[in-house]
Amino acid sequence: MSQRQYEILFIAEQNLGEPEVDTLTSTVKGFIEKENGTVEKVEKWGKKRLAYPIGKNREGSYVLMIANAPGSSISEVERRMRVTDGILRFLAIRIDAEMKKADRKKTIRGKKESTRRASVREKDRAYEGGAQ
Amino acid sequence: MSDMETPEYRGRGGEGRGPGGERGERKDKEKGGGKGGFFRRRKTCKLCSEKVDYVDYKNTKLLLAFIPERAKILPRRMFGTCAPCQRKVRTAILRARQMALIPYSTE
Repeated sequence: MSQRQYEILFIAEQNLGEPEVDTLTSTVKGFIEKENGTVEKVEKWGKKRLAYPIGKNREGSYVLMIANAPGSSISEVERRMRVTDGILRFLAIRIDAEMKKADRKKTIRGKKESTRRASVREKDRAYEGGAQ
Repeated sequence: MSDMETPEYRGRGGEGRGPGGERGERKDKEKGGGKGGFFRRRKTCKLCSEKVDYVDYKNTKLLLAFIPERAKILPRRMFGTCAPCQRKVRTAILRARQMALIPYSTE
């Protein structure tokens, strides 16, 4: 099965302390691993003020995960996250396609730049050659 | 679209201009035909010129540049972003809003 890269960001409720957020993170990790996925990176943003209150929460702990998982499994992960207590909100998006596009753009631009530079260099050389 | 305006515009002394060059030139000069009639600079896409390949919804600093006081997404004509970039910005803003990184509206 082809693996796809996903970015999962979730907000934990404000009354949860750091250890509880850690356990929540590991449970989410468990969901992904159960579905033949692997977690590449976990990034904890810590407690942040929400832009608007969600329920009674004015703050929330953000946790970002980058995971490789088969495409069919993400719906199950989402379902499990939905029923997990303590998760205020989450967002799982696929990023591999976008990243590939961005990389391609970057390489194209790099090539253009290098050819431009090369042509400029050549012109410079020609100019110098003419001057000598 | 510009079928109505073209004859009148040509009459104002634009001889020998190609149909393609006409529009571009018109934007740089003052607007003819009594519509608007003020100087309008052509806007360019900020994201393209700054070479942003991927508009990340987590990058609130970038997104907030596209959000005025009322926190509404403004139309393309306000910012001059190109269509693909505006689409990217839009989805990023919607995502960021859902994750409470950006407000839906301010009081």
